[in-house]
Amino acid sequence: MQALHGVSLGVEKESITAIIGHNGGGKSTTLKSVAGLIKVQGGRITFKDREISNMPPHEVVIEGISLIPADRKLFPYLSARDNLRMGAFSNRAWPRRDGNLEMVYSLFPKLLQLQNKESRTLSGGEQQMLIIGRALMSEPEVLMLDEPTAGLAPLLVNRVFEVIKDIRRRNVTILVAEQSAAKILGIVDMAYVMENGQIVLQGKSRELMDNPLVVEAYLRV
Amino acid sequence: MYAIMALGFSLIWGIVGVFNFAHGATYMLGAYISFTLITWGLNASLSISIMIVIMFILGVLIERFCIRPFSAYRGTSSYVMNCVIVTLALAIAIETAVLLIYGGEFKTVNPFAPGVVVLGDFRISNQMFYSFVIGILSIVAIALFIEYTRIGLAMRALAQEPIAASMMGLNPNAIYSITFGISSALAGLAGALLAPVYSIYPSVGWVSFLYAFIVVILGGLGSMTGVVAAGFLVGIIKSVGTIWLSGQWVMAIIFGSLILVLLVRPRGLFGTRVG
Repeated sequence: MQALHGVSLGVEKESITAIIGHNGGGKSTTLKSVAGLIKVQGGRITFKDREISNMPPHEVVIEGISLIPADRKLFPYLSARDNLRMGAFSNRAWPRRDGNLEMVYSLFPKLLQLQNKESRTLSGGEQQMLIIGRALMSEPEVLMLDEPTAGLAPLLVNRVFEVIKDIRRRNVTILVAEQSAAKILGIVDMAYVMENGQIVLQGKSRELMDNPLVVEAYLRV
Repeated sequence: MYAIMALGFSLIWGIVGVFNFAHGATYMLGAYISFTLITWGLNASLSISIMIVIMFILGVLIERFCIRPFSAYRGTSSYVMNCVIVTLALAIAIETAVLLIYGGEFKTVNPFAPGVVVLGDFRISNQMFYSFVIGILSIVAIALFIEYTRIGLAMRALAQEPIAASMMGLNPNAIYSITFGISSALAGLAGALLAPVYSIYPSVGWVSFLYAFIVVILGGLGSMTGVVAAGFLVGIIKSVGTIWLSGQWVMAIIFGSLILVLLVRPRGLFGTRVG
């Protein structure tokens, strides 16, 4: 079944880009295709002038693109620390794992306390932090987040956005798929609106926030 | 000893998700290969070490040619069925080859360490003693490997969440190869160590395979400690049992306990993940 039709989007280096739109519109499919989890039938995906369409997922990570999927997928019986270490598995990131581990702990001090607990025993918010930390361990150049705030309490949602901004400051390019346009548009530079597998609108987030169509469809709670 | 066999089998099941029916065959091969090497004049430790390396490579080859071609079906029940059939076929092929090369008669293998160890009232043959010690050391070594090395970490992660693991930059095929290699090496080791005790013949692998299977189910699919504990349990039951009862009774007891345990705890004694 074809989910995406003629989707064409580009992400600029060291920017934060969002894909917004109602669920089922193709946001996740787009991210997963880039990550190599879904095969691309027609069309191409390029990264830094290299074609990466249909690369197996582990090679995409080695290229420098990491995805945090919507369903999180922690390693449930591994400790928090082992989950993080696993994030640094690639040959590229492994030598610097200790330094990166410290970096993640400084970003999420709670994880340091929880480091020996099995990840499945952590609360939703803690798991989310762990997931983001784990993705950072792979030293990505591009970090993709699929619905990072789903199911989180408002306080944690803000925390996640703080973290995203922090990550951006470390020169990581970010692509976020988020159902709630209201939350995300304030943070990002560019946004694409996807519905039914197509991009219906795109532009700088400022413009979109002022666009009456967008306001009507997405920003009115 | 059964613990070693079971561990290897359980590793493949837990990580690759496949029943390796050729596991018994690898046990048998290990025995034959080291027997051959010894017959050619190499001393015991060297033969066994070489055999382990050979078995490891064999395991990798098995993964590559018998399992990997089906990887497109991974995650479906037909995948497991396919691998069962393939490994079963492989086992039969290997057994037939050995039969042709070596003949089907029972061969007795001289113990590596003649003599007896006397511990108080008990006399154990040196052979048994060394086998036991080597067995324990191997298990400890593997446990440490899985817990503390990078590859061990990868194996644990892959067993728990295959998709997430590949998103960490992990090439699943590479890990599967290593897993098969380790499993084969372990089976071969068990085969070589027990060869002097039970004499070898081409079908010798199946008994061990059966035991490995029982131990894995008893201990719980997917739990390392459970498998090891169950391995020892079965070993003890068997040894103690054969002293007082006939062989048939021992088997009956073992199977009976298996049924009992499964009724009470369908996941096995220590099973944490659903098999």
